[in-house]
This record gives sequence, C-alpha cells and structure tokens, in this order.
Amino acid sequence: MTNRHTRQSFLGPNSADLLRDATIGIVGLGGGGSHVAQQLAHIGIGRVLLFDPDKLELSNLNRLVGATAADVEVRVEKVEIARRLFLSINPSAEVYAYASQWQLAAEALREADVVISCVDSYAARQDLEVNARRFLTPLIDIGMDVHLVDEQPYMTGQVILSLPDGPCFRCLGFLTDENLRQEAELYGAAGGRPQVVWANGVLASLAVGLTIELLTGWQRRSFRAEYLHFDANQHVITRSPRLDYAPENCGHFAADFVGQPVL
Amino acid sequence: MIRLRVTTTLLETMLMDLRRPHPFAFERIGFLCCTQVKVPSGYLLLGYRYVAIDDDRYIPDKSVGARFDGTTIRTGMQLALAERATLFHVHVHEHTGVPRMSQVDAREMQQLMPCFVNVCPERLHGALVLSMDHAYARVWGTALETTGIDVSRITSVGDGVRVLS
Repeated sequence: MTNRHTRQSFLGPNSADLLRDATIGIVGLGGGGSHVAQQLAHIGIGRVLLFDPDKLELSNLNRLVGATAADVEVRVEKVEIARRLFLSINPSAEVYAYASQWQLAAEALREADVVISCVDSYAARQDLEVNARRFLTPLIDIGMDVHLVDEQPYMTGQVILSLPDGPCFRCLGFLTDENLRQEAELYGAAGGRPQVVWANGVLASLAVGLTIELLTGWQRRSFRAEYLHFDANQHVITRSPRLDYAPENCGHFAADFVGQPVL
Repeated sequence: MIRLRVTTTLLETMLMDLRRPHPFAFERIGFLCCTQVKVPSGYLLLGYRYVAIDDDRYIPDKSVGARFDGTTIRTGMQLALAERATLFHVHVHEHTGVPRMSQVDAREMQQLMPCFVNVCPERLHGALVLSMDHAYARVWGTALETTGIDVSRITSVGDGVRVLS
C-alpha cells in the first residue's frame, strides 16, 4: 500500500489493489456525478468511464464540482471537466470520457464493475437498471428533488443500490408505472429541477461509500439492496422501510436475463 | 482481454453441487452456460445457468479425478449449439487461493474444447476451475491458439464484487 492510501488501510490489506483494478461507470456528470468522480479519484479507483452528452452552462456553476467560470465561456463538455479533475488528483488513472448518451457507447459501460447513476428522470433510471441487470452490474442511483409543502420548500433525496440477485427499483417501489406516466406527461415542460451542491454532495458521498463497500467488503456486511432516504431539511439519513417489504425474489428480472438483447 | 462475471448465487450453486461426494469419482464436473458480449477491451462472458451432471454419467477411472461418458459431452455440445452459449467445463479444487489447471486438466481440456468450438464456433468455450474462494479460467476459440488463453478477470457479483482470479 502506498503512502497515498495509508489513511484508508482499514479497508483491507489489498484494498488499494482492488480499487486500482476496478472499473466504475458514472452516468451523468452534473451536480451528483461530478462529486462522485472527485471522490473516486481521491480514493484510488484506477479506471472510470464517464458518460454525459451535455456541455457546461452558467446555471451548472452552483454545484458542478471542478467547473470554472472560464469553462462556461467556452462551454466545456461536462465529461471533460470530470476527466480533467480526475486526472489532476490521480494522474495514473485510466479515464474514458464519452460526451454522448451512454446508449451510444453501451459496449463501454458493460465493462464497469459498478455503475453509478446520476441521471434526472425515472425513465433514464429504468433504462440504466435494465442494462445493469443484463450485464450483472451493481447499480447505485442517486437523486434529489425539492417539493413545495404549504409553500415551504422540502428537499429530499435517495440513494438506491440495485444488485443483480436482489430487489429492483420496481420491487422497492421507487419505479412505478404511475411515476413513469406522470413524468412522460410532463416531458419537455418540466424545466431544470432544483439542485444544490451540499445535498448533491451528501448523496454522492453515500454512493461512493456503497461503491467502496461493494469492492472491498470492508464491513463484512451482507445485503440484497440498499435504499437510503435523505431528508435534507432535517439533515437526516434513514434506511427506507421499503427494503423490509421487498420480495425475496425479484419478479421483474429473471436470473437468465443476461447479455445483449436479441432484436 | 476476456472477463467472466457470474452472480454469487450461481457461484454458490456450482460449489454446492461440485463439492458433493460421488460414489466413486474423486471430483465432480458441471457446465456453466454464459452469454458472450463484446466490450472495448475484448469479450465479457456472463454466466446465466449451471448444468449439473448426473451420478451415472461418470466412468470409473483412477487415473483422473473424474471421467464422464459421451452423453455428457453431447449434453455440453447440445447446450452450446442450441443456446449459442459460451460453455465452461467446471470443476473444483478443494483448497483456498487461486487454483491452476493440473497437467491432466490441461491435456483433457485440449481434447474436449474442440467439441464445443466445432458446434458453436462463434463463441468462446472454456474450462473454469474453482477453489473455495478463488477461480481460474481459460478459453478456447477458432481465432485463438490451440492452447487457449487465460481469462483476465473473474468476478462474482452479489452483496459485493468479489475478484476471484
């Protein structure tokens, strides 16, 4: 273990090697994904795959880690900002940046040992989970939203881990036909969702924590899924009771539902 | 680069079956069916089903750990052909740490693999050796050397991503 990682040696005697040899995919390099990328670089992940078709805008500067005012002027791609940040922290890493929708570089995403979803719609999460199940990849989703309750902003977020043999987003009640339908009806009219840097940071940190636990097993904890709820008004994280009611066997993805779809 | 990925459930299923004592064979074998997909660095093989071999398919032969009959080979060939599957011959070495193929294993696989490659040449086929906590695999294919090539990374995915190779 190098000096660089001595402070995290409790993760296991071979943890530095495990993290260096791991490949992590990050889909969405905005407020959440940029935090995730920064932390993965610090902790020593050796290979990352970055996917985001968007370029930086002024409205992203309130939360996108690594972005500068100068980047806004020339509208730098978000994946390029993440790539630059990652390599500035961990120059020996392999960073593959895809300035496109992940579906256009789908072969690359298959190599990921873990995929972290930082997208902003239910439909996009559904697509990513189907892909993750097909390629036996753990998927960690993060997201936040702000709702008005009696004119009072109420900020919440979630971090969900979906494992190949465990309950899926639908089993956990996170994805439903109803929320997909409502989102589809609002398609094109929703505008930018509220996002703030500190809530993104909390959710990203939880996702990175789960990623490191998956890769190193440092807690020796056994779990079939994870569903954490973040009350950003009260600054409290709780485990969702939906985990207790998830079915033993996922009825949405069969065990032999693997590989490329045949059209 | 070739990668093999299986769920922890499937890995445990294989170990549970293969570690059962046989009336006379020293070890058991089985077949792992995989889907083969292209990735930028080569191929990713995704395990989806394990097929155990019945007790009466083994032939007494003290010179090897397990010898099986022609029906078993045809079962494997049929799986590869019908499912267009990458097929692994699987057995266990009862120790911890990274296993290796014995000389006998290597010799037998050289003879067995062409059976699968011939019926399903568009897929890789191979041998997977499990230990109690690690694994080793080698694959053969039409475009590869007759001695095959090692699988670079074997992982099981369950409540963690365990690197087995």
